Amino acid sequence: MTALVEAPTVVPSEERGLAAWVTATDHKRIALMTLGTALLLFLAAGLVALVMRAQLAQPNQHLVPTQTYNQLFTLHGSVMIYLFVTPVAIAMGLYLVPLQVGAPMVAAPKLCLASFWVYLAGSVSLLFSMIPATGGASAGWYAYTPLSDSQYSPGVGMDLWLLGVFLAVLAMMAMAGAVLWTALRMRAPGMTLLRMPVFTWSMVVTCLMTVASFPSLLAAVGLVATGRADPTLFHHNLWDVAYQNLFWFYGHPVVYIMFFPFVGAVAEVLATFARRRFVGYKPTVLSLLAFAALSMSVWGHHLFTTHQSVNDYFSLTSTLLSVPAGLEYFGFLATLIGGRLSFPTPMLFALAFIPQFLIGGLTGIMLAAPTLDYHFHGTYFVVAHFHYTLFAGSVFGLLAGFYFWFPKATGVLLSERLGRLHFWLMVIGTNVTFLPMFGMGFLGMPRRVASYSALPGLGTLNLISSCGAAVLAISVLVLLVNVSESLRRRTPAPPDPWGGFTLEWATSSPPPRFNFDRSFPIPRIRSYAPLLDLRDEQASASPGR
Amino acid sequence: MSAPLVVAGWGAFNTALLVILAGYGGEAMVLWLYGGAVGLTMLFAAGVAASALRRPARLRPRLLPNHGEVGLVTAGGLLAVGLGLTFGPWFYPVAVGFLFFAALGAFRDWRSAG
Repeated sequence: MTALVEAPTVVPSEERGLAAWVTATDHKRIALMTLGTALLLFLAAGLVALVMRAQLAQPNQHLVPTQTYNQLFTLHGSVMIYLFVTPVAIAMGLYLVPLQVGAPMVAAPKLCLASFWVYLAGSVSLLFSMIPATGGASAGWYAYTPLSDSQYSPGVGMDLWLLGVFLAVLAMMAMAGAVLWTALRMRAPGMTLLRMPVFTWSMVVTCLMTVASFPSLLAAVGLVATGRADPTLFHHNLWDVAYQNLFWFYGHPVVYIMFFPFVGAVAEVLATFARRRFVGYKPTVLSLLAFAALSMSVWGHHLFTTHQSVNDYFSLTSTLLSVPAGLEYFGFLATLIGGRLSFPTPMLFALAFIPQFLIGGLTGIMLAAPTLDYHFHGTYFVVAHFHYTLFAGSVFGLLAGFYFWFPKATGVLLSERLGRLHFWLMVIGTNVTFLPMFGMGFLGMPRRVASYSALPGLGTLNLISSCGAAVLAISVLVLLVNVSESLRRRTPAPPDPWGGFTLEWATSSPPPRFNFDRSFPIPRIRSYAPLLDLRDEQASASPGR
Repeated sequence: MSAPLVVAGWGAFNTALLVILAGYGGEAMVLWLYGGAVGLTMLFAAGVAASALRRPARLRPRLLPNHGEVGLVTAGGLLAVGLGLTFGPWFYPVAVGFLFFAALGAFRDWRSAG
């Protein structure tokens, strides 16, 4: 059943200025503020990664002290997971879902605005956790106990880190709840569930997982903070394993929360530039739901080596993930085969996503086998695996979406020439950085070490990886130049620069306050590609043209 | 396919996975953890169902203010509570101040919307 929230009868005018932005209840503004903050934090975490790669470029190198290095990898991981990829994934949904389902606004806009500010407060707290003279947070992004307790991580640094994570995760949970409610309860007339675009479906499963799994981390972080205040509270043998369960009950689903929205973005981009409907829509929707449910049941594979989890069960469910993932891949490939392909920048990033994420996925299946996991656990093989899923996969999907929807959000076209340069540098940089890490892991190099011995092969692989990181940094600079130059030149974007299929392309670029108005009404919705239906209708009405 | 069914169906799939985990001999703590998440999902499904029953067709048009200062003030209050836990209780009066103004703002917005 579809519920409709009608646009207000009195439409306030579009307001400008800083004060209008920071207190805006418009979902698009809140999403853009969240995206902007997250992208700034991405740059900061990227700089930290460069320092780490400089440190590891040669064996026995000591550019930064060991304790500082520990803080650097903690900051890098924490910012990337809690403050960059997750918020970007949810904020993309906050921007696009109301547009794609034909809603004039998001459910609970004030809650979404409060969420942005809570997220910002959490970000500031987490960044400041590195500063205290008594020692910054250095227990890694998952802050295992007892390393994160008051005995091994004394001082306020760890407390600020816990506060930052708590606030950021709380904010994203609230925002995700609002996005989910919008998709489920605020669709326009005609927009049935099975007419929602693939991206919106990807957000539905993302938000379901967020609502179900994030409270676990809030509990874990709260308990660590309580244990720090009173160290006698928890008995470590039991508590340490309990913490790992609480943490990974959040920590594995969040990998998919940082992945599904970008699968949805890639699906939209592939269909648009193949000039055909996404093939296998219903199987893809079902596979997304199954994938999301299965991914709630795999967290125990992070505990294989503790001998405190049911290895058979978690190995089975982790391996089963390849079935819905395979279905989605068939959908991607079937959409491409027989399509009239064109290759603008969003399409290039979407195409690169397919094989690169495949590497991340397949190595994940390897790690789902306990026998192999015993060998690779805690090595650079795992680092390579999750960077192929989260960077070579998710960030490429994110960039496909970024180039695709940037004209819609800003009303400005990006430079194709710089976009292509960015793409090629990024593909080279990504693979040169992360592919050698599989080799390092195979040779037994442990993760989170500030230095390593000059064993045969390790130095060369690390040097290659560090050179790749430099190429990645240059590629990000090209992206920044592209964005700033495009915003300066302001080549105006039409409402539908790519010939898109979904409702957001039926409105202006950028969309009006309540998304659709008299100049840009919601077209008739008969399928998950309403604008393609409209074009087909027009073509059949005038066959000569 | 209806919205409450989608959420409840997803919760039911998770319930099946939970039952299988129990069959494999998962520990009570792990089962409670997973069961809690399933319960939360079902609660959300019930909320969606209740909303669908209560407002089957259309919501009344209403005026949405362009601004929501309350959000900013609430975030300030939450941050001050957290800083109080970290640095000491002298942050709590600040937190109370922020949260008081947030509640006041929320009440004002509620009255003007009603």
